[in-house]
Amino acid sequence: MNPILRVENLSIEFGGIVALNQVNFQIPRNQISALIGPNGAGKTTLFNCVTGFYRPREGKIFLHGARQTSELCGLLNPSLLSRDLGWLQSLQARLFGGSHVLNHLGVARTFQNIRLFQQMSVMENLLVAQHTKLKGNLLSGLFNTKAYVNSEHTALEIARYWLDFFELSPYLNKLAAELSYGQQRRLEIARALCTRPQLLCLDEPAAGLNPQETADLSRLLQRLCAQSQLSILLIEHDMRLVMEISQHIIVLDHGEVIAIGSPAYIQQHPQVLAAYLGT
Amino acid sequence: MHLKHALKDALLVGVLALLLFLPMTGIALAENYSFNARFHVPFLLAGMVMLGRFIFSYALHTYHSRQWVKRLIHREERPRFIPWVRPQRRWILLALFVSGLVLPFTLSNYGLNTAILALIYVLLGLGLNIVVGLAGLLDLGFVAFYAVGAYTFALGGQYFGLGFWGAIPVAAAIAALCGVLLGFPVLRLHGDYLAIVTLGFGEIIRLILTNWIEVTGGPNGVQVPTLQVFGFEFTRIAKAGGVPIHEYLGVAYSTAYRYWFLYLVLFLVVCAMIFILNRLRSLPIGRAWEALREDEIACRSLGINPVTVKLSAFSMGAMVGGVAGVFFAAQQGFINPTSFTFFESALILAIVVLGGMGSTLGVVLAAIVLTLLPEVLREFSQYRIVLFGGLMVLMMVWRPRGFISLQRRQFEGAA
Repeated sequence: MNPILRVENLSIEFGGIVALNQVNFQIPRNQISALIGPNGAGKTTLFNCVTGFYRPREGKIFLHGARQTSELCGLLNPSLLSRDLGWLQSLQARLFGGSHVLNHLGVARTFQNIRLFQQMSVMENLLVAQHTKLKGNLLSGLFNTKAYVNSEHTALEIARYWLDFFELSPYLNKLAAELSYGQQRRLEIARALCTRPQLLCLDEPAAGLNPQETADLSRLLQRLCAQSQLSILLIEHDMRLVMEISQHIIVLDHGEVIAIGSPAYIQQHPQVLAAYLGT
Repeated sequence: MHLKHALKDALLVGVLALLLFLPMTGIALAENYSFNARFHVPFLLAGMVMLGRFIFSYALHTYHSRQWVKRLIHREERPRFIPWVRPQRRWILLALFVSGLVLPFTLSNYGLNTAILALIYVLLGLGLNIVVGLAGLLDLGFVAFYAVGAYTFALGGQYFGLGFWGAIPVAAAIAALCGVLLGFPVLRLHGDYLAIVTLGFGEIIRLILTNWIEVTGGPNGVQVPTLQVFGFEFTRIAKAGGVPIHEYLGVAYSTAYRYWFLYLVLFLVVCAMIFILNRLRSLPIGRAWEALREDEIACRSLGINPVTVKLSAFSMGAMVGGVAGVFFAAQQGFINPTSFTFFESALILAIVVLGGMGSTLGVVLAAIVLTLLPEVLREFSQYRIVLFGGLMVLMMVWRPRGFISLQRRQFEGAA
């Protein structure tokens, strides 16, 4: 297997409650992987570790990017920070957290409860996502220098592409808050994609969607994975969707990995059945 | 080949032109209702048309000219940039600008003073609008930056001989620095906690100014250096030596000159600020501010560094506040800490909230209304605050988003 993400011995606890205990797994490149498990199994905690929002007590997470391999937890570990980043960034990460750095390395995510910029337009949501890729500072923006105009133009083109892909083009000037729930879910994925990630983490993308919207989402995700060099990791409770689109499944229960494998294998796995049926 | 084609084309057009021009110019009405024939005129005209047509149709066959025409017809889609002024608003803005320039010459000294005060509050409102309206950081101590600006001018003049023009950039820089200083400890705070810390910061600055008597003069205040333009003063008799401006220009002395000067400079600064801030909103940094207001966690997940975004909002807002402070000091001629109480912060916040969070036009209108209202209501001065409070309550009930809600940039559809 040629993994994009490798998690080694990951452990984290919150005030005595062990949320993750010695978690080991790999995520194949350019495929859709699913992370499933009953409520409270530690799926979102794991997600937060991978995307840099939590700092694990123990263990390592490696992202095997197209150009380099980076240690994601190490980035949050102050002693390692100064090596990968400048001193200013590392000082700042030490003081205020450096989760934004992970996005620069190619990890993008969506949230279980949608976190769009509600009072901004759809297009602005997608432009904000490209903030770090935009050239130029305050002055070059004020005076419309060529570098700034060109990079803004590119950003608009990329945003239009993803709007088109997620069938949101007619709404580009609407406020994000005015969109329907399903459209908001799609916009959040589009926004994450605008940061040009290598690994896209989706936290329950189908939660709250009706069967039609879920079917659309499944089609879009499959198309997305097929046509771009993107690996997707998703948490999902909708088993039909999971079995339909994912090639690789990791099952968590009580903070531990209980099964890893293909959908067919997972469906037969006695421990998984036990965890879900509660015997 | 081209030549022949062009000749034929020119000939055809020439004949057509002749047919047209012959009745129109070939016969002239003479006396006694008779006609005079003057056929040289239409032939001359037709000849000119022929020549022109020949040059045109021949030249169009060259490669470059065809490319040129092609470009003319299929206008290439250029990268769009954000215009400084929307064309449909150009004339309204120009009219407002000119009337703003003319206004001081029609006002009494009292009116001028009020107008300057209104403009100072516009500036303050614009500054706080960045912090509260755009970045969503509730700042109850904005008056601190106003005080820093004013005292930079006064004390800088007293100790370092800083003049009015020098004071503007220096005060902007020092206020921005104070903004960063305030910003650092409050980076991790949100909402109510942030409001309390900023409130404390505002009070700290005021208390320092009150109690550090050896430097700031404490409650006795400081004299602000006299205003100068190109080294000429606005006083009746020059204090710093030389001649005052009215003697130099050979006009009678009037106290209004000083106010005219202040008003005009302030007006230009306010206009520049309005343009810059309006534009900032559609630039990456302005978008990042708004995104931070909407959701900080989402910002982080998109790789935006919330620290720099917050600090830039604090320092930009503080900078504008500092500049407003310089103008306040220049207008008053004398400042002491009582001008920088919490009430001022609350007033500036009221301007931003009433005007509509984030909306530049709303802030400008609200600032003007809130400074003029107390002047208009002078007869009811006892009830002024009650009326003021009542207005706020009504606004919050009917238009909780302010006078004017934010207008968003419109994008063109997918190509």
